[in-house]
Amino acid sequence: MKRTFSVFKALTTASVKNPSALFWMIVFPILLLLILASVFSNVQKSVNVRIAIVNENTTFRRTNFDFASYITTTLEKMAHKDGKSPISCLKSATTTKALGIFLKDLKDGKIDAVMVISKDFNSLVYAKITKLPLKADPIVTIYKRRNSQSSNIAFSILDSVLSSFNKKFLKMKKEHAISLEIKYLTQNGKKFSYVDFLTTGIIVMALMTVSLFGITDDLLVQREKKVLRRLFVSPITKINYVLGMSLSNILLELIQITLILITGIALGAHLKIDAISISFMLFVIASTMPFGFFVASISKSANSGNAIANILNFLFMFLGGLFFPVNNVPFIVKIMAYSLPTTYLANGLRALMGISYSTTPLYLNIFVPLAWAAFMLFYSVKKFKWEV
Amino acid sequence: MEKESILKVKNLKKHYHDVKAVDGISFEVFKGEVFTLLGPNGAGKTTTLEILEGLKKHDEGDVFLFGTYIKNGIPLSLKEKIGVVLQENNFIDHLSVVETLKTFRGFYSSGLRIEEILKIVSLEDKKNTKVEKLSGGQRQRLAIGVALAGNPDLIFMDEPTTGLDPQARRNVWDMIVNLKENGKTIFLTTHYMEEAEFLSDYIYIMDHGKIIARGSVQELINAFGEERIIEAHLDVDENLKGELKEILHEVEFGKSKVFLKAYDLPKTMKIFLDWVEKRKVEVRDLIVRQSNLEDIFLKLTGRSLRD
Repeated sequence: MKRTFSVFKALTTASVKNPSALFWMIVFPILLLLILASVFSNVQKSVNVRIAIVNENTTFRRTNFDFASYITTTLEKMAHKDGKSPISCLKSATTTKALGIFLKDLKDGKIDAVMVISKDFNSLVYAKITKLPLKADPIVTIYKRRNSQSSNIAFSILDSVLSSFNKKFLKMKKEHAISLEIKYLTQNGKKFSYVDFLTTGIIVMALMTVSLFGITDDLLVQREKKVLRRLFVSPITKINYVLGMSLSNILLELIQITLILITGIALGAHLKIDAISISFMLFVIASTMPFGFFVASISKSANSGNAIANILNFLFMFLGGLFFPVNNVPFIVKIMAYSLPTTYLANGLRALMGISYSTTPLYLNIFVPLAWAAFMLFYSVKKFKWEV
Repeated sequence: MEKESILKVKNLKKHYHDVKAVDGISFEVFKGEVFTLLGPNGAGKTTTLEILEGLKKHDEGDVFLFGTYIKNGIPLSLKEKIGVVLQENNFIDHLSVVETLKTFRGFYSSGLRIEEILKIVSLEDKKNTKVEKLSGGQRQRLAIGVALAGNPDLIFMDEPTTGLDPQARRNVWDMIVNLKENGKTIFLTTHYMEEAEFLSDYIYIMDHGKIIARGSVQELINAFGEERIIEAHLDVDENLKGELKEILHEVEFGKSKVFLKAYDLPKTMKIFLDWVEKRKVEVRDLIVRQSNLEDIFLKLTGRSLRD
């Protein structure tokens, strides 16, 4: 134990006193989080809203006075799949039962707004145009999620359609025409937030980076410089060294996680941090560590190890669903993405941290990385050479 | 009083494919002595040492370390009693001298205090310097300090002064002498005959994996170096060199130097000086010395130690 602690202390001190290691392991992930969050958060929110309409109107249907139909047709035209429409999905229905389903979808974050046209909408609009006495104002109700940017965008679209309707048929200013009732819902679980998505992705990236570069460096550079040889003529075992090195990297990774979480929360991320999500982070640490051992085992020199680590790191970063969702990527890329452990680690972490974005079930999020880790560990134990 | 055996090696062999790196050597090292394996590069010294340090496994032969038979590596309990200075000493980058010493001290259950080690290796004023900033000599002193961390009984040193300047080399020698005076047993390999002569109680001369001679410095000289050497600076052309060789037979020419082997010193000296007088050759720095280990190695192998 004392020997393992001496290795741990030496390697940790060396890392802390190495500006380059500190930058890439601690500062870089936070910089990346800040940059990506500031660049892509708004872009993500400005496109692709999903709207549902429930047309409950039963009056003047399929007549010249079917005003409700004008509204729904306008939205359907807007949602035409020309690739430029901000409405990526439009669902229509006419029953109160459908409304219940849509509202649940809205709460679950599957759609961004629900518009309900009231039962006697057409007759009330007709009365308003012909200045007949009104028993009530025609009402369109819009349901949206509280504090949701995508819901706000969907609402703006619906609002502009109603304004256009008012101008065309009622020749009145909006506030004197159709009453617009807005109802807010709170999303079930959590709304999709890019900062949440990114923060969890950066955590997985950072842990993978420490493993790929930290462990590879501790093994290959020290082997190449014959530091390992010097250590092993002293009374320590290879197990002492591997344990000390692993503990040193784990400490760095825990510091990383803490700093990334603090930065993410400061950027507005809403993350559930509990025993289960922390346990999964420890699982991420444990399952990514063999990657460093693996790279060290297949590399003849520190330089080649570094090159292989860089290739793997890029692959995991950009195809592993760390920065962007991979469910809408081309098929071939999707196959690659779903072959990588980082996709599952990121999905698992997101699911357990309360971000409703896991396209894979939890058991796969554990099993796939575990299978990768087991293979790499087995290969490393068999193939790693302690001396060059 | 009977001497205490620290290390005993019998018929040690190590092959690399067809190359016999160590070819059946035997020796015994006793407590408190400086034991030296002397030989040129490639003689098999480092391979022998690496087997004794537990870095390599031997193919044949018996090794007893502190009376324990060693076959598959050295147990940690014995490593606690050993200090090692490798031929190439690198340490974890970014650590200071004192952090490096503390790291290695942490591997031993008992040993010297860090301040003591710093004093022995004269690195007190460099204790906070990063190891990569140390000069070659300072780094070698640190390597000796690291070897002393567990206050070992036996210290292996593989060519500890190779690549050092004369002053740094002298410092390392002084340190080794001090260690010997403090009762440490030192197993040294070197290809510097001055180093072997200065430090060793017992020398084994090794070449092509075999021991070709052994004994104390004086025993070796008595056995193999009965002649004297006349050494002088001499500017002569090839004709005159040939002439001198015809007259004196055992003559060797270095870079502007001549070495004459003299079994009968007055006679050889007279012949040489008569030739110098007759040919009006300018002679500078004429000295007569006893044969040294370099001469003995040359005599035994036909090659120089530095070849």
